[in-house]
Amino acid sequence: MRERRPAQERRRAREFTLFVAGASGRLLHTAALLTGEPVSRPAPAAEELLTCALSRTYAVWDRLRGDDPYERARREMTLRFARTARRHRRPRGGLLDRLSPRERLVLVLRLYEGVPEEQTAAQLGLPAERVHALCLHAIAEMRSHRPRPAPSRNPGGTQPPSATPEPGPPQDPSAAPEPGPPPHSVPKSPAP
Amino acid sequence: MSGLPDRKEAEVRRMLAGPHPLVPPDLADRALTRGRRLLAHRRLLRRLGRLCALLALAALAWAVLAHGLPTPPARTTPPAEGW
Repeated sequence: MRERRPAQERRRAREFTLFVAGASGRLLHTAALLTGEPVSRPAPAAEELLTCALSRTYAVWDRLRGDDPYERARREMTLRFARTARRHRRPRGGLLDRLSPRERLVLVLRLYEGVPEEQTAAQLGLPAERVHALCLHAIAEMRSHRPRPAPSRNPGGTQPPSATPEPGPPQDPSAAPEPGPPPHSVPKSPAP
Repeated sequence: MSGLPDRKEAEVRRMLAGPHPLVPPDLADRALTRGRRLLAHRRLLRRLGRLCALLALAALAWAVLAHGLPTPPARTTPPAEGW
């Protein structure tokens, strides 16, 4: 058993490196969406989040036993982000800046990662209805700010408003004729 | 239920699937180093826990062998005689 350990460690390291090479692009994007960092610049908070999640995945690598390591890493990232959400409240100029950390988490898990609602609710320890409501609110918030930001809105606002101006289904007609939004309209980043 | 929300969801989904950030080349190495440290730390903790359990068991066995099980105190007072 003593002699087998280095071989086992080497095999684990090789598998892990291969996994990271394949999955880190998508996982880092998820992390950057969560921390609210723009994709154009290096994202230290997202990298830290991802590195921590990956190292914890490595620590349980031999006990995965057929579980998807990607899912495991995502779950570690989700849990850590949910635990440290207070650090990520300040807007950093990313795409999901206007959302609260919890709304970002729900939106990313549901729409970007495609995790079912019940699973999201179970991971976050929330009722499924609450997850549904958070997701709807986040979608409404994203869509209402998709067109260019109105000049009346103050860009220095640090917190997203608790009530959206238009949460309901009647959508603004100005959004309709615009066929393809630019995929990524970064609002200017206030640096408080 | 499916028409309108689906369209909205697809729109936000498109916004989320924007350009990906650049992955730093040493990310895997950093995660590997940290994971190894974590694993060694856990292994050490597990060994310490086992050692503690073993010591406690040994102490208990010694106490029982050396002193025997303590007898419970009497429930009644002994009869008072001769006064």
